[in-house]
Amino acid sequence: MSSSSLNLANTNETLEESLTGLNQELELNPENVTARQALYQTMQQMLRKDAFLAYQNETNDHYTIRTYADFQFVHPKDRAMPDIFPRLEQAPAQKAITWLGWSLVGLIPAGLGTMICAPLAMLAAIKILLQKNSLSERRRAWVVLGTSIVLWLIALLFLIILILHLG
Amino acid sequence: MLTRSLALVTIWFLLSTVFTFLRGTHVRSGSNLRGFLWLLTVILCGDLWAMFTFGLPAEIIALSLLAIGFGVMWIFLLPNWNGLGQTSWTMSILAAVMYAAYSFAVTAFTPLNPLGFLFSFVLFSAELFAIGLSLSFTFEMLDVCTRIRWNHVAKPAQPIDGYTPMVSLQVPAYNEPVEVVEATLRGLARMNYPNYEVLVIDNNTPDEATWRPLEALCKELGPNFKCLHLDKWPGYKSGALNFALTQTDPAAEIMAIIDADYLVQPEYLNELVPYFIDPQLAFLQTPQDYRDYKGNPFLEACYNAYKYFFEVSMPSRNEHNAIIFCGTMGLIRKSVVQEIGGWDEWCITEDAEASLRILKLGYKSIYINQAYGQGVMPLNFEGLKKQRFRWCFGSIQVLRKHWESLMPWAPWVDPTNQLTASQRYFYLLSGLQWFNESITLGFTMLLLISTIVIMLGMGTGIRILAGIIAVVPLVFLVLGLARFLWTLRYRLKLGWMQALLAMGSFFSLSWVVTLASIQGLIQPRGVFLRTSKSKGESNLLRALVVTQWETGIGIACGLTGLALAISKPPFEGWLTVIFLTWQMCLYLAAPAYSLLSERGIKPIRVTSAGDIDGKVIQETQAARWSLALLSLLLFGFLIYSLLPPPTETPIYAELAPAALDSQKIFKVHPVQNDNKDKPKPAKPEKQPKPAKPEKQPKPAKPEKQPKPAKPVKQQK
Repeated sequence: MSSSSLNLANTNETLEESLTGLNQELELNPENVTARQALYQTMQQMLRKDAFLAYQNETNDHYTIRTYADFQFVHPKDRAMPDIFPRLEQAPAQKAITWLGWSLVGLIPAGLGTMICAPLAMLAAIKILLQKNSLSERRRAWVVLGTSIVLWLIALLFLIILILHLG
Repeated sequence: MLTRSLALVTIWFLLSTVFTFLRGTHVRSGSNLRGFLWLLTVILCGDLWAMFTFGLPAEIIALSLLAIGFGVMWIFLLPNWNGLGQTSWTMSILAAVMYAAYSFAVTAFTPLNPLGFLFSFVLFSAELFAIGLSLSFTFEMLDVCTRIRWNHVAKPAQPIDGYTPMVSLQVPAYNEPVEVVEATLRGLARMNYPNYEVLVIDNNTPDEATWRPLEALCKELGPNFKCLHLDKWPGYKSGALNFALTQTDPAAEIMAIIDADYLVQPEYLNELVPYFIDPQLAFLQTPQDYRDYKGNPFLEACYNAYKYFFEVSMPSRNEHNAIIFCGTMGLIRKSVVQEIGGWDEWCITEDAEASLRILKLGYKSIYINQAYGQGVMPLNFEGLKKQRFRWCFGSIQVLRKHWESLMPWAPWVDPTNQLTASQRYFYLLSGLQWFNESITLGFTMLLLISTIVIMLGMGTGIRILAGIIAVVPLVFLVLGLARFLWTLRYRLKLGWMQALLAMGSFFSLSWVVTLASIQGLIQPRGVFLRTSKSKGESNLLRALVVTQWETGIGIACGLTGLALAISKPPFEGWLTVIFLTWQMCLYLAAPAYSLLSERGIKPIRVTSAGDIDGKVIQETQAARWSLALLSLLLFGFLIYSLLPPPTETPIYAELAPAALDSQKIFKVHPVQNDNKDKPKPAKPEKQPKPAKPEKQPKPAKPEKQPKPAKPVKQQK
């Protein structure tokens, strides 16, 4: 298939048809280096004629593009799949980390916020440790647990001082 | 004891810092022994002073031994610094720690009602954060000014026979004047490197008449010049560059990002590409330099301020393999960009973000401190504000995305994270340092409110620093500013006036950095504010309008300070006047520079493409929030004044640090007993005495923005 398709690309009358053939080939075999090279050459020829490309859409693997002459085609992306941020799905430890963040902020008003948020962070971390999670997530949970305990103890000290001022 | 310890450490800090200013950049050799002797000298001088004035022998000896031990540790940890730098750093940390301890003790044990304690604690938290940032700035400056050995300095390389990998020079452009891009492309056509292509990526320029000439120009310049016009393309510059990856010559091994207004020197690739023979080297950065600034005081100040990053921050980071990829005038390995998934389209400082992901994979980077190209700076203050907003906003985005990777435990949690401790430190700081300006604004608010409250006779509100110790924050501030000037003068080879103007340029952006750092925290996506580098007619009124909020804050500080001064306050009150004056200067720098930007010789720029600047900063909205916060604080103070103060001296007040009057610091007057030094807790904060302006919030956050340099990002 690949050789016939590439031949087609070479002999097609229009660049648009070449692009279509090459993209079909790459869809079937994304690792086809020869087809990628041919696609690049074809694109360059097309861009020499007209540099205009309009965005239509994209997926993780390819762009959908339109030319000035309204020819629409797909073009594979030439890179690894990047990490999406903000993540679409929360990591298991995310909730615990969020509470940890609030625990840290909670130190500012004399630890009052930490007194509430740190235990919630601990609970969330313990929940993760009790579940079956990846090693990385479990380690995150341990970090949250340890840090929130330390923060809570610090907040306790501040709270005692605050209580002194109540008298 | 705590008070005397703080006084002694402050004296060491003062001595060591002043001597570092005088000789720190001249001492070009050093050894552990010399470092130790200098440490001892400073400690001894301070000890003698304390011994004959306020100190107690046992305390002095104990503290001195502690300082010696701490200093020796830093002498061994910082073998590449001279003795003055090592001692100055030791004393900076000691002073910071001692001040934090003192401040905590005053906060915790001054008799206040609960609300007063809470307010004081918020102030203490801000002080703590400011002290931390201040130390980070100090480290960076000492690292480059007192360093005697540079272990990672790289010079332009000699070409290697047979090694001329293909380089793709990528020129992103958005609505750029044709004449500007043409000069850039013609400059690139003169490269003396044998194997390169130039890819012009015009991104979303609305008017076809603007980008079509670029297409024609590329055809004229030959087959190595390619042009892409991307229409309605998402992801701003990153989105365009990601697509450009697909149109980069498959043979290209290295990519270079060139801003559309940069005139690049022909030897750029010839002298830098040879470094990439090391397969572990992922990216290389050179300084971003500028042109067309001479004769215009505003642009000259901006130029020197920009240079700070490449002359101070980057050399320091380079010594720790923690540089930032700044896009323009940097080279990056194409396969690595593909490996990390391309440029992040969520982040508006995509190049800095990419460098962090690359270092995380364990690759190396290098900084060559030699400029190979000159671009154009924003030509007015409004443009400068937008650029700084973007840099700051982007840095906060990087911090939001990667903060977990920068924590001390990160490699344990994620074994694939190969960032070193130094890299984590520098990247974490490059995000956090932007918050220096938010802290400054917070101090300004507290200072204003508490001064007004005191003048209205509603009590002191928060804890006060009394006696000579109240001067310590001022000492921190003055030394911080002096250190900043010293660094500018030494590293950038500036005169006093040039250094002052460059410093003022940083100050003038305090408000916009505050806005950006707060917005970066609460707003997930940023608006890509294009930096205008073309200029229309001068508009003095416009110059004032764009700095209306800074002007308002500055005037408020000035008027409050004036009113306080007229009321003939006591000693601590005058310190507050000084701080209010300082805050006034800080914020009024904005209108001053904005007006300055409308004067002087203006570079000849073309404006054929018009000037679409993107959305403007939502200053009014942000400022309204600030006003709301201010009102909330004021309301809190009012509530506070309604709460009853402690009626009798609480027991915990015994733990409050003793006051130390100035006579004991400056007069030969050995102290035998400190019982009499105790504060007068019996009359807690109640006594309204109007003029007595309590402490001045601003303390620790001394030197303020050396941070600006951290900008990281770049690109119009």
